[in-house]
Amino acid sequence: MRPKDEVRLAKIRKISWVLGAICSLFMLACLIAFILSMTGPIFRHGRYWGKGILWQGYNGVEFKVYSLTARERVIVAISLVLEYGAAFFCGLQLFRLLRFYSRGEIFTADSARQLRLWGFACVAWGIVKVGWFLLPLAIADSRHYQRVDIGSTVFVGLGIVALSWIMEMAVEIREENELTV
Amino acid sequence: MPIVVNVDVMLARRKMRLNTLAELVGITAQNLSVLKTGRAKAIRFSTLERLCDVLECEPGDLLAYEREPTAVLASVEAED
Repeated sequence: MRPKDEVRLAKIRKISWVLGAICSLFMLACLIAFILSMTGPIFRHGRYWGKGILWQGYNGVEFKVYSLTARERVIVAISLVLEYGAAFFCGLQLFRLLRFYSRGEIFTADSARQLRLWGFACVAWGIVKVGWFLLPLAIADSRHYQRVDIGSTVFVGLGIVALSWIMEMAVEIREENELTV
Repeated sequence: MPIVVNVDVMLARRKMRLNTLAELVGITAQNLSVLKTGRAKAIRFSTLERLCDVLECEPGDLLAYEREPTAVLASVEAED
């Protein structure tokens, strides 16, 4: 490898390691946010239970927590599991991809496959976001309190999947180049 | 692969080691091993030129074409 390429590879490895660490924090944040949501006023009886009209918001959707029925709480619980689960899964796939890059394995079949997995994870997260956006249709005492971005994650995911196909071609070219004496 | 690389034959004739040849040609021993074992997909003209220069031979001494048996059968059937 040329010295210029070695310097570039070293930089990529370093940056990938840092991004991987940030990814780990993101996954941890997802986990903490999920635990806080599940132990929040929607599912836990606090001292003001049954009094007042407390609105609690999660990811752009607000719930009138004290008037939710049991069925609605189950729907919200499942939606929260899907929402944070999809985000965590997306972060995990990105973390695995960055781990390949931090080892210098950029144009390999495994990293191209992992890139595709990350793309599909983003698409799944985008679809789950759409479901979360439609939650007020299923739950009477809920509303949107801020604009929710519902489409971009799906398109970004599809773009990443397309990029993975290009990466697979790059892997073939690299392998052919390595076997050129 | 129908293209056969006879680097080991020339190495034996010139009584040279693989590492020495690699150093003189300016490629890694690993790359030369890829060529010697027939795993190479392509060879640059510059590499072939340097090999011929160091081994004092012609490209035909290093490269040979051995048609595969299935290819022979297909061509015989085509002639019929």
